[in-house]
Amino acid sequence: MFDPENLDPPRVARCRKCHYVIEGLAPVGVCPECNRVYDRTDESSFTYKPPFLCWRYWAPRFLAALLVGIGLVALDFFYFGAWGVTAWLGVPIVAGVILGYGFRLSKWILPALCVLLTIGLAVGVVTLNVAGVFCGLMLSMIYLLPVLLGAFCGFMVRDVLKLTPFGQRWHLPVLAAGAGIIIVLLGRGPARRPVESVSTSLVIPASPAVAWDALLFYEEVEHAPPFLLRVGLARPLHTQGRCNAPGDTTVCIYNKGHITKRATEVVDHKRLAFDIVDQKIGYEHDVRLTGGSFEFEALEANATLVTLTTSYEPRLGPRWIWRSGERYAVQLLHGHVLEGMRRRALQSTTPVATSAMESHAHHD
Amino acid sequence: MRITIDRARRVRATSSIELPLPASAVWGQMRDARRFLTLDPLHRRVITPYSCEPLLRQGDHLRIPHRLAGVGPDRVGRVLRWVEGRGYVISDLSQRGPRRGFPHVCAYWLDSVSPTRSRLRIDIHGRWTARWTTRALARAWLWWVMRATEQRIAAEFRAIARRRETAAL
Repeated sequence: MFDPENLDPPRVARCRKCHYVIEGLAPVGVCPECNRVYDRTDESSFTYKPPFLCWRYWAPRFLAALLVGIGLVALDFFYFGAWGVTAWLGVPIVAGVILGYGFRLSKWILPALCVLLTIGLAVGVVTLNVAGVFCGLMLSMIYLLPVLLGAFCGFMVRDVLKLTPFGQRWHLPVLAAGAGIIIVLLGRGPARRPVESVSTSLVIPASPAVAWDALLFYEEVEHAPPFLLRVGLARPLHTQGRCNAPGDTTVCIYNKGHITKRATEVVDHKRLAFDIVDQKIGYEHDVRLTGGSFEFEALEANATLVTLTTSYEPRLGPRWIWRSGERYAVQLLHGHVLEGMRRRALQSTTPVATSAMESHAHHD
Repeated sequence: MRITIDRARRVRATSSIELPLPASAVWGQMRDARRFLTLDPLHRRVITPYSCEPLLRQGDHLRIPHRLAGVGPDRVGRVLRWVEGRGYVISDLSQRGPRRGFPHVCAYWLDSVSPTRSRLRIDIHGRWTARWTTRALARAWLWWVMRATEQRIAAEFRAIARRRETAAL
């Protein structure tokens, strides 16, 4: 049966220089716009190609993929309040399928657009305040592979379907978006995950008493934090209160809120443990800090092993991807705190050493 | 842009877009009406069921699949007027009948503003038949469609103008 929808539209002859439509004009003549000579019997004197406007071949689908991706993440977060494997893997695959299916330029450009889409999704998620900067950076690494996979699948489906008379093929991106919603519905992660702990140790060249006096929280460290902590975490401003005895509370003020720590165990020169009783620093949907501890172990007279432990309830899945990133960030933070303690301990021992040397010189 | 819907639900919408190309160059693109009409964000394609001619002609029957996010009806119409160098008028009707589903007429008229600039006027006359929607909602919907059309037309012709400038250099 004749179906004009499945036929290509008639080709339209255009001026080779300015793309003026020369259909309906004299078979031989000059373009009314640019005066270029054409001859309808000579195909080299005109073209059937419309003016090539690059953005039309990728921008609409790119924006659709970006909006669908961010929309699905927002639906998952704001409506269901859950983070599952499928939200992190299913959503980028769906966005990639939409991009790959609607993409009409050279296949060699597609990976570059996938990178752009990944960055766009991560920026969108951070902008919606669904994740912090650090999670956004992690996300851009997590999303890339599924976006590439989805784009490849979409591109292949398009490649196959464009040779067929399948009349409903323009509905496929909508079906992909619908599939994304189902994926989000099915992929709701567990509401609570078990608490995880990360510990980091450093030998401080000082006695346990000096090391104990040098004890610092992250918010009190004076030297500049590493780049990742600077851009990825909230910026600490100052602290109020001290944890000198069990029950004491310290409120750490950040540029985005505060954390309240309450000491649960204080054994001088041995151990300080605390609980996080209140956390409002903008990362509550990524991680909930539960507590931490400092432990001091004398190795020699002037060497103390300090072990810093942080416990948290993770909110992001899949754990096998997020765990390594979270551990890396916490260890970076521990390293920063322990380095601050080491410097402080050295500062407190140096004047003693200096005065001893001065006294020795005086006797000589 | 001006959109009015009166108590009898008669729709009149007018939009005017100034383009950075001479009228002759714009007309050179508008002549390919099958392509030009798809700059409307709802028009997926323009199909002429009874004609295989490259250009549309006055009286040609049209089938225009309307799609928003891939979903929508196929509508029908005809080329009502074609004035070479000036513009054309098409009807856009529901397949259920000429009094159902927002029957309307779209006119695209081109005027020269200067030797290097032109103005495209889009006029829509019709009747909003969906009684379940308020006039304000209908006006908002039409505003979005016309705004998107304006932007797509402007983007298309700006890109063509840039190509011409680059070629001239």
